[in-house]
Amino acid sequence: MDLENAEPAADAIARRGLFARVGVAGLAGVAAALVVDRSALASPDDEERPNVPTGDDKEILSAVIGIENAISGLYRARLDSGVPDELAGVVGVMAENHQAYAQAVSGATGLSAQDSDNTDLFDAFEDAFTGSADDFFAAAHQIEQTAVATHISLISDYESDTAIRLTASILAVEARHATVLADLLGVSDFDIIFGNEQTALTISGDDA
Amino acid sequence: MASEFNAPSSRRDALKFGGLAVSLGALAAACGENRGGSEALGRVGNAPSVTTPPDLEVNDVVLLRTASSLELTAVAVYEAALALDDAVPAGAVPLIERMILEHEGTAAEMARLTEAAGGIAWTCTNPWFMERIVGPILESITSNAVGFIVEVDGESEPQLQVMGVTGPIQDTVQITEQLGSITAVDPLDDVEVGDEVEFTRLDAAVPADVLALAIAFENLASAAHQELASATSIVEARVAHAQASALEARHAALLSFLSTPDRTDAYFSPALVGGEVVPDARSQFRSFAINSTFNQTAQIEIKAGPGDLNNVRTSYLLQTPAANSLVYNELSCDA
Repeated sequence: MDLENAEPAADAIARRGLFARVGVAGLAGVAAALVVDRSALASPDDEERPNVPTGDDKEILSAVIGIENAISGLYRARLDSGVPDELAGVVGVMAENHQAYAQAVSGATGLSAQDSDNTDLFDAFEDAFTGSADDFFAAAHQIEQTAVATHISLISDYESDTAIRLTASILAVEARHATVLADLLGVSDFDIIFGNEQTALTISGDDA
Repeated sequence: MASEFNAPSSRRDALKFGGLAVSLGALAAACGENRGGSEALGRVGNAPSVTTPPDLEVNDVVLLRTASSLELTAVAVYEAALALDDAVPAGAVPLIERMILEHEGTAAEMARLTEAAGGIAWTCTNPWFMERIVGPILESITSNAVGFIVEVDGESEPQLQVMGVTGPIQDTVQITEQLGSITAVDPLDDVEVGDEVEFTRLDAAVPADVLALAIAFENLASAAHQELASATSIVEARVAHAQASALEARHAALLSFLSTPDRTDAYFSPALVGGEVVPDARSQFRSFAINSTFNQTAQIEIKAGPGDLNNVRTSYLLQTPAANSLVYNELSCDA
């Protein structure tokens, strides 16, 4: 082994290694700097509000999973019973969105999204969802409005940040669903399009 | 031994030594004492001294005042649009008027909650949004296209360049077959190389920009209330923000229907089913009633105004309220 030849190479590698190490240390410093809280919208009571869903939140959210699964199932039932090609996309998106809501709540709570379903809700709307186009649009509009009303009612009950944030991000899109369905129904009355006369579903102890 | 000197550093080594360096640095910093001296950043030259920005409190009242300011800014946007010639199609005027009423109603509710929380209700627009967002966008929307008289290699006569089109100097320039033509505002008789020439906007360009701004602002307001719902510690305000978020999402959805010839094309974003979303012929970003699975709070980008010489349009970014656009208790509508 030629030590004389090896030494310069070792120096070069040592310098390269030094740069790498300094670089990593620098990146670590940058990462540490980025961790600084830049949120001006932090809740004034952040110290008191838990981040993850509390036990009480989970009881309510368990019922929410069932509701979202039921609504998704109703849209899938409609797809199975046949929809015109031009409507399959939007009906499919609504089915997928509600399933995503059930899964998101499941992910936030650790509760299973598979085992929970609100069969009463599904049964109450199944005939309308699989009936004529107008029956379907009207029933779908009603159930979306009901979901929005339910989430708005529940958002005052939640104790955790996660439950509040997730609910707020869901209910606004369900309001968008309702607006599309109102358009499909041919509604032009702003009181119906922008309003919501549906009442919130009652989350009973049995549901929760 | 030489082989050890030659051993290359692995990524694992780099991370290990990097971590060690940071740890030792932190240890040294923690153990250091009595180092004295100013903690301010080092300065070079005669720059004026740094003014420390005030550390203003963000509380529930500030959040509610900010919400009021956004609602009243939306009202100002719509009123400005109605005041522009032909910016709002006649058929859309009742919708705009209805939305003005609803924004005023939401602003009043936020004002009521502000006073209930012990604050002073905010009764005017958001100064930051008006100055940095609404003002510049409205100025762009109402601006004419600008062309230049240029020399072009291979052409004996000066040419006119405007909105990506270069050709002979003429009063009317067709931009594309789909978009149509623009017309010179001033006479072109005595123009010379280097002269600036003003042209009208494309047909229906102003209403399209106003619609894009309205949709963006409704989506922004919905997103802002969504964030405020989780930021406030007042349960009644949380519910009010959630209701406002839903209402403004409905506004955005309905307005989206007006953005395409076939309103059903605006029902949902193709991205939700793995499709591609391409800008429209005017390079405006498409709007959809259902644009995502969860309501988005990310920044919203729109184009406004005519294209430049290369037909590139100015982009504007709208972001939900943050430190620079909150309506702090120290601010006043009278100021």
